[in-house]
Amino acid sequence: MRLEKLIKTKVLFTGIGMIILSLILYPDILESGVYLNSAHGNTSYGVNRIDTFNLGYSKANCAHCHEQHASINGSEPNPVNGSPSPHLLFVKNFTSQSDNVCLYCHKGSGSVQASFSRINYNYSYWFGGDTTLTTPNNIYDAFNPSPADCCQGSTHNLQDVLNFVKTKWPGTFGNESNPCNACHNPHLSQRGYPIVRPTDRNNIWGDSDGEHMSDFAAAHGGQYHAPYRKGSTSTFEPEGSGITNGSNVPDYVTFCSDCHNATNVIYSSYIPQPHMNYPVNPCTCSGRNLFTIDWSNQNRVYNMPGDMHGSISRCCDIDGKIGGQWRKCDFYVESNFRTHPHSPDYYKDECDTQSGGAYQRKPVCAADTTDANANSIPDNIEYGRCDCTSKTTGNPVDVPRWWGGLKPPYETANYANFILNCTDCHEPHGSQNAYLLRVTANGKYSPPTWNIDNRTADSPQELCTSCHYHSDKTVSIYVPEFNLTFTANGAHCGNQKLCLNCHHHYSVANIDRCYACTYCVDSGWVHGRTF
Amino acid sequence: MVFKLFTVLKNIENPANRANSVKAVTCLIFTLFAAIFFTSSTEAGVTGPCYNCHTMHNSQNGQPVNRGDSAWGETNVSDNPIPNLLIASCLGCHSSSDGQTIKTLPGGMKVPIVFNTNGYPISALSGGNFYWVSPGVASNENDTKGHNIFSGNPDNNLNEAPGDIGGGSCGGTTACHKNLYSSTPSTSFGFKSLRQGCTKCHMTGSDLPKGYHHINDSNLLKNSASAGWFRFLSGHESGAGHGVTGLIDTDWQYTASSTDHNEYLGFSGTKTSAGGFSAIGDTMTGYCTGCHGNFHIEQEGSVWVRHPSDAVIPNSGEFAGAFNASGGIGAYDPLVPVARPSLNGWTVPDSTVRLGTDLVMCLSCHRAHGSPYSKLMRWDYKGWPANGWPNGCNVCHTVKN
Repeated sequence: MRLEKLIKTKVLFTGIGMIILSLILYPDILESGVYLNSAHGNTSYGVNRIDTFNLGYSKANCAHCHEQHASINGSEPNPVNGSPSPHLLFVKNFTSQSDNVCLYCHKGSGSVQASFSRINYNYSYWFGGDTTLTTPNNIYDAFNPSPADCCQGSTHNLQDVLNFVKTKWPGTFGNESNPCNACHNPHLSQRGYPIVRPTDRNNIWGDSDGEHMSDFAAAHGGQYHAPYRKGSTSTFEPEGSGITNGSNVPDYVTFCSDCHNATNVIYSSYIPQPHMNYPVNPCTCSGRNLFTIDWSNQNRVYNMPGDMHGSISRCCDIDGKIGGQWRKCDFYVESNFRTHPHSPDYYKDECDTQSGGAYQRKPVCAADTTDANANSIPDNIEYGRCDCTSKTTGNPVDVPRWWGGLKPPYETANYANFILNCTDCHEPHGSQNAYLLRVTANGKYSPPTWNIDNRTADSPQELCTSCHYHSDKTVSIYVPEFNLTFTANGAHCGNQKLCLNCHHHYSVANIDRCYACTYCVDSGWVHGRTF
Repeated sequence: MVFKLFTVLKNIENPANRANSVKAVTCLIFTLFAAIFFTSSTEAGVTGPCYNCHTMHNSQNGQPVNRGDSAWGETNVSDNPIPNLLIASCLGCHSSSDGQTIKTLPGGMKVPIVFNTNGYPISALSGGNFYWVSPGVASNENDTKGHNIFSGNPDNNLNEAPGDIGGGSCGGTTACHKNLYSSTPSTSFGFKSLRQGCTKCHMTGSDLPKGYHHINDSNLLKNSASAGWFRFLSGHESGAGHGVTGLIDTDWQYTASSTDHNEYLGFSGTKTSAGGFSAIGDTMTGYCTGCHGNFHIEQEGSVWVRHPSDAVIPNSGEFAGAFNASGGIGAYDPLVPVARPSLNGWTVPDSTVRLGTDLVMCLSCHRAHGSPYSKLMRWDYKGWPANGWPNGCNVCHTVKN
């Protein structure tokens, strides 16, 4: 009997010794699962509710979020809501934009999480590199910007998100679901890879081959180029390295397109109404369906879904570098050559003199004797309004324009088809700008005090001008017809109101008057490509 | 039986054992008498010499025999006899001062030990052990590791059973449904003698905690009062006639494996009531809800608001891989026991877990008596994941590891 016991003891200790040795030699034996690899499950910085921490629960323990019996030691730990909650959570999963179980921890003052090892600044801070953007510094504030005005701030409206996902995917989401879970999986999402597609709840998106922006761009006939990091012209989003092809950033397009695509109808209950035209039509906030977005369609046919920032390739040379295709707004007139009116030689044909006799005032124009100020000089003559037309063909000469040209690094890269990532322009949670537009984009800071009402038509601080020239670039070009070097100043021809009045996702489907590449050869030189 | 008789006769030949042997012969006569008139009880749960448990006069060679609550191996004896001529209380009989968790008495009778005074045992039985809540060891933290049965040690953290629904007519500060340490009045709650500690849970189906140990154990399936119910867990008053149905493991899971374990009855009934036998049948969970009923209010609509108990483990989602299952069939894990929807006709434990059929229950996560872990958990849930050990939760929640 004693021998048997001795043998058992030896076997036991030998076994334990072998296990310890194995763990030393092969530490991966203790392989973590998906939760322990997640941000919440991390034993260094995972979930750690103050009350359950004080009760001795390990960091990252389930009890920090889930109360198995709605009671610990005979009472309900803080926060106390008096009754058990769905999914065993410590409070109701989701009530409102400000009352959400996730936001009980992910908030500033009053957070029930013992501490954070990383502050949840917005995308522009962490990936845009603008470390001056210390507000918001938590997810709660990002979802609840101040002032709460859609024209001066914006968020993903969580109730709208829930309404959409539970209708779209009723097998996955229901009334008791948390809208945050449309984009995240609290048991899976990692600090470096936080997103999970609503259509694929059990896999992190963006961490594997084929899930990066470089992959999307390549699959859609284009190229991705990362924006600058703030304050640098040599490092790029998201990580501040020299990588520009999107191989280090998740394919947010595919991710976001699970909801925001060409067909889904998504109602937003609090959003600026289209057709703004400040000050005639100032920004107002109410509900409407979001514009649809089709980032994949490469077809340039008029009035078809598609986005120039998406997969549609550049149909014309917006920066004048490919074939010298300029914007064409109008034609040379006399006033292009000399300030008008200029007395006393009103009747000197400057089209003629400037062209060495090859051009003239357009005869029809010159024959118009309308004289509004009754000074006996026809207005067209007095103000130099007449086009210069060829004396032999009657054709005018285009005035080169330079608006919408690309800024570096895109200008430098000069790809034929840039395909942007959603996060190049948008914050994921909320922004101090409208439409979730980032405060800092392409390394450029747009003061968060602006809103879409008080912006001037030519504001150099629009988000669009983070990447596009508007009036802030001049380019000289030689015009042989008149033997002159013309300085194109980049001014937008036509209506120079808020960019977003005309240029938005799939705008052709909503505002027929808005166009982008006005003269696209393969679209039959008709208006209608959208930005 | 022949072996027992041989043992007794052999003892008579030994002068040193003669006194005990005389008692044994007396007991044997009683046993034979009982066997003749109560043939169904010939395979009693307790076997062997009567003196293993009883003393006629609380005197042996002029010295008292009754050791009260003192454990096996201890000699604290009392001149005061105790009811039923027992030589020790429940606690005394089922405690040991060494690390053994099964005591083998003369005649081969085996006594399950649920309290080891010298430390939590290596081979604790299926219900666990009361060591961490015993006087001198208990603390605020340790009091969370077991049911506080010791009369001198009320729970440091709780005034009443968590999840208590009031116990119906069995209310009051000393009621079984409130706590286990205190004593009920000598006649109350339908009992004719006081109840304290063990007897607030076990053997509550009779006036006095007697008779159970002599019930026929030839059938391992305990599903009736006549069978003694599972581990003598029976109801009373509104629960009279009910008890816990289970298939007992003959060594109380001293050894345990997928083929060697208890079986428990479960019932996937109401998820919105406080449970009880009337609501969820003669189940282990039904019994637990006698004191922790609110914990069985576990759904609102179709959404879980508390962890399920007596709910079918789905064969879908992350649960499809529970118990390392393939095709809905997994391997039974004694660390995470499940309940079965029916035990009718069962004679041996099932080595499998049938997802979509078998149920999670209170004992899937908790030990009945106590464990080294907070909340009587079967594993160190509270310390996970910092402790680096596997989490039993992941047996079912396979993607939460």
